[in-house]
Amino acid sequence: MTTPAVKLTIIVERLLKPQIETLMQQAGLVGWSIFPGGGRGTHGVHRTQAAQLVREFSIVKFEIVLRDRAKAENLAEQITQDILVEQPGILWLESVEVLRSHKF
Amino acid sequence: MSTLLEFLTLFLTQVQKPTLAFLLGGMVLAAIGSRLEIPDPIYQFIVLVLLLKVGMGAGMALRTAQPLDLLLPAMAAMALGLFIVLLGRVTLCLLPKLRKEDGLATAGLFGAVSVSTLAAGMAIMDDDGFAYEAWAPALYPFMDIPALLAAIVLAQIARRRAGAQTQQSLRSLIFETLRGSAFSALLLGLALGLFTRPDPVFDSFYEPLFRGLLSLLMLVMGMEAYARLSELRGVAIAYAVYGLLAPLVHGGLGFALGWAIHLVTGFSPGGVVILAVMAASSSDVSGPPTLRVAIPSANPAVYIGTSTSIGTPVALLSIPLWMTLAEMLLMP
Repeated sequence: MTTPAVKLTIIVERLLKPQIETLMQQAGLVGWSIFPGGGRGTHGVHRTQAAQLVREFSIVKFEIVLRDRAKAENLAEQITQDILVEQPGILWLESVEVLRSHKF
Repeated sequence: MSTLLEFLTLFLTQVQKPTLAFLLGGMVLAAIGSRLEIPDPIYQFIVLVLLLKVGMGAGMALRTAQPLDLLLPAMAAMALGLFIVLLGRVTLCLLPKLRKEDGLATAGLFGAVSVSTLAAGMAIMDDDGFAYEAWAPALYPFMDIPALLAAIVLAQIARRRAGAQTQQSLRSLIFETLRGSAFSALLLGLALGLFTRPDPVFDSFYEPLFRGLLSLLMLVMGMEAYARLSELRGVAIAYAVYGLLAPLVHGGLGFALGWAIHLVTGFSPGGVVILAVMAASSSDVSGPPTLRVAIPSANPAVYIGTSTSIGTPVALLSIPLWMTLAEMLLMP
């Protein structure tokens, strides 16, 4: 019924969204989800709904589910090396069970 | 003595104007810990309308402007943007214990222009019947882009000298800067005003909304300015001093250069004030994300905190200063 897969989650400031998306396209990914968010981190408070002068400093969460764990690990490694060396952000991999496995 | 009193009276009258009053109101609300929030979509709408209005108004005025009239002010704007960054590099980067990248990013923001401060200057001058060339806001990109690029180039040179890799080419950074939401809206407004006939929608929608939306923007800026003050706690005192003095020094330079153009070409006293306001301002919407990507090693708490929490309020409160100076020196 379900198929094992891996979910890559990336939380970054919105200003890094184009760079992350470019890397995902280069990795051959065709689909992912982006959720707006808020919270507090090393770069201060990221407001959830209230106005902040620079929209690019609000945070977004990417979620990508892949059946190929090696591909997910490579992508996570590349994002870390190319973007997150000097910019704030967190990412993690977790095992998930998916339905409709042909979508991944 | 009477001149000083006259100056202070004129200055205090200007500070009571709604634009500046909303800024101070926002700061007070944040200081007392008010839970008032302006929803982000509303703020984004306000910024979009103001950028389109400023750009469109300038573009419409450019249709009938003489290219030669623009030449000197545009060159002055460009020179000011570059000079402010170089001045910041000399003053901030040479101080001991200050990181070069932080100094360059701060100088870049202060060389760049704040569209909200510019819009506030226009509103205050319009309310006072203080005439200026309607195309003057079109000087914005001439000062803003060279300043940001100068800071980025100087930072990249410093990184290469230190043996570090630079991740992005200058070309891609320029492209990203121009594609940023603030620049896109401003340049779209300029192009629409210059090449199309948006006058009916400008007169019926953008112009009537301008002051009301600007007052809300000032409220947000006042709240943000106070909120970001806490970021400056761990930052060298030199940045706080720079944030206090730089808008006045830069505005004074802009005023002096504008005054010289006034003597040569008859650039209006209002135009001189616009140039001074732009020079005094520091970028708060388009500059920070550009510098975050271009100079990632700079500490954003330093340059954004210095600009938003000190530089911008001082620049806004200095608008009446430039108007009063222009009245006393250029409009005898």
